[in-house]
Amino acid sequence: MYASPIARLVQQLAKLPGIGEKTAARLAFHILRASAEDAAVLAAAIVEVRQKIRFCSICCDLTEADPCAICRDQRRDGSLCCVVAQPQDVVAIERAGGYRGRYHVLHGVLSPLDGVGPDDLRVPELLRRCGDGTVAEAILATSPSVEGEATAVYLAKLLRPLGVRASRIATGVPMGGELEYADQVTLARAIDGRREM
Amino acid sequence: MRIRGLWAEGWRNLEPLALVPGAHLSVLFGDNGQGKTNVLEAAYYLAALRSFRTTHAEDLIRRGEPAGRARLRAEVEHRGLERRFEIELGPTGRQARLDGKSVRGTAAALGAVSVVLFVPEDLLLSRAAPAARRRFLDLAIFNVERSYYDEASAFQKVLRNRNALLRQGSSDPALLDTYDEELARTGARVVMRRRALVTALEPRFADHFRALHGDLPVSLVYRSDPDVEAAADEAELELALVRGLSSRRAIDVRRRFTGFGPQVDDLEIGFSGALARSHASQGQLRSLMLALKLAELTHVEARLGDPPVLLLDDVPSELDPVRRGLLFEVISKLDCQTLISVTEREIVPALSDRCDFFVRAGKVVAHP
Repeated sequence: MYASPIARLVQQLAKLPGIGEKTAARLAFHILRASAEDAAVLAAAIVEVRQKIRFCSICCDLTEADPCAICRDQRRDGSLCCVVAQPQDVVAIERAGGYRGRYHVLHGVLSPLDGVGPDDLRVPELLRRCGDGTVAEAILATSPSVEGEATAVYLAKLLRPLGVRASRIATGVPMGGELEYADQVTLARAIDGRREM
Repeated sequence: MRIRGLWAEGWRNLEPLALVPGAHLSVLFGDNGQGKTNVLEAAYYLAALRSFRTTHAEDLIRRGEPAGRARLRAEVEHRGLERRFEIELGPTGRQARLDGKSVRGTAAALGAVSVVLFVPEDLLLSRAAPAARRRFLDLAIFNVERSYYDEASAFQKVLRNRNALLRQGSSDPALLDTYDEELARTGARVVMRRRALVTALEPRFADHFRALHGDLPVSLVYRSDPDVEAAADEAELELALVRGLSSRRAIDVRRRFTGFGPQVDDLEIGFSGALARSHASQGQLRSLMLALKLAELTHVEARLGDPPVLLLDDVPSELDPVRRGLLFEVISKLDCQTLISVTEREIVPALSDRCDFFVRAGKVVAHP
């Protein structure tokens, strides 16, 4: 058995996703071997992230300053709102570049089976935003899974009466991908969603 | 398709198995409870990634197996191409490898080995619950349409979500509308696939039945709600399903489950213009079910361009000599590799290069 401060650290680390007891122990011993300063910086970073990060009051993304940098950026097109499931999705779309509208982060997708309904997501915030006439189009960018599709269909139903155009991101063959390696469902969707040239 | 070799380790009661089946007919014989069906189950698992006897993986792993793992491997030949397919089952789940390369996802791993299974319960299908007939259809489609696995799973998931919503007593109409539409979209695809299969099976079914009983009219119909049946294509089906779901919503909300949709459809087997299960004799029912399984077998052969491997678990002993005769006639005409389990090996005709294996206490040995 480890000395109790080590055991406590191992127990806390093992609560993290993807970290089992063994990995937790390895991380704990790594922290012990590192300099006291490194350990202090890590501990401070953990405390700081909890203290300083909050939800943006407009788009619900995680941010240090409220409103977040994207919501404050006047060069962004406020009439376009890209609705995503997770903060990581904002990062992914931003990294891709090209999109100059704003975002809304739901923090999940509908899944009655897991007890997740609209009130567990940032849906009321989205409706409030879309009700004031600034948003003309909502791009529903949840993933094409059962839950992601249902979430998009549901939001489209609520947004249309508010005079907001609801669009769905395209699905199909990835860029640089070979047709022959695409799975059948993706290929069938790509054929369905073909466009005129 | 031919299975060139079948290996199993840590599987059920079997001693490490290395079976080289005959190119045509292999007969596994021995007393009950010795492990004959376990050999067929291993071959079936490689094809379907599920067992036909249990849904619990732990049942499949040999008791007291030190690593708690089972390994299966088949070397198959399909239209001149040789492939090796392996599955490992253990406490951490299931891994599949095709030609040594790991395969992710059930849909991708299906179809590496293709088999048609025939068990005695199939002979009772016409009098079984509708769920058993829907299952027969779905399993027959998985064999030829790999993407159907994901389509059927998506439908089931939407259905479970809708039922969860009804149980929670949700009063948000937009949310119920959403699940109606999603159920209709995924359900329309399921109905299209099942209808296409039934249409393809019907003439084959009639031919096989005629070979046994002469020109008695038989039919095979995929039964849905009348409004859904009237829909001709997938778009119309989707609309008809949405209409049906919304008109019965009050009932669903009260009962707290979904009572309308492809999950309550049925395969109707008709005989002389009436329902087979109430109008055909016991013997005619057996012939009908035999004809249906043979229709499935010849359909898979036509679709894959190569006969699947046929697994017959104890079926020959359930058939009288005339019906058994038709079964073996179709098998040898299709030239499909067949693995049979029986207690009395004399019951199987001595077709060309038949191979016999004696099964006792989990050991399988070639019997000259």
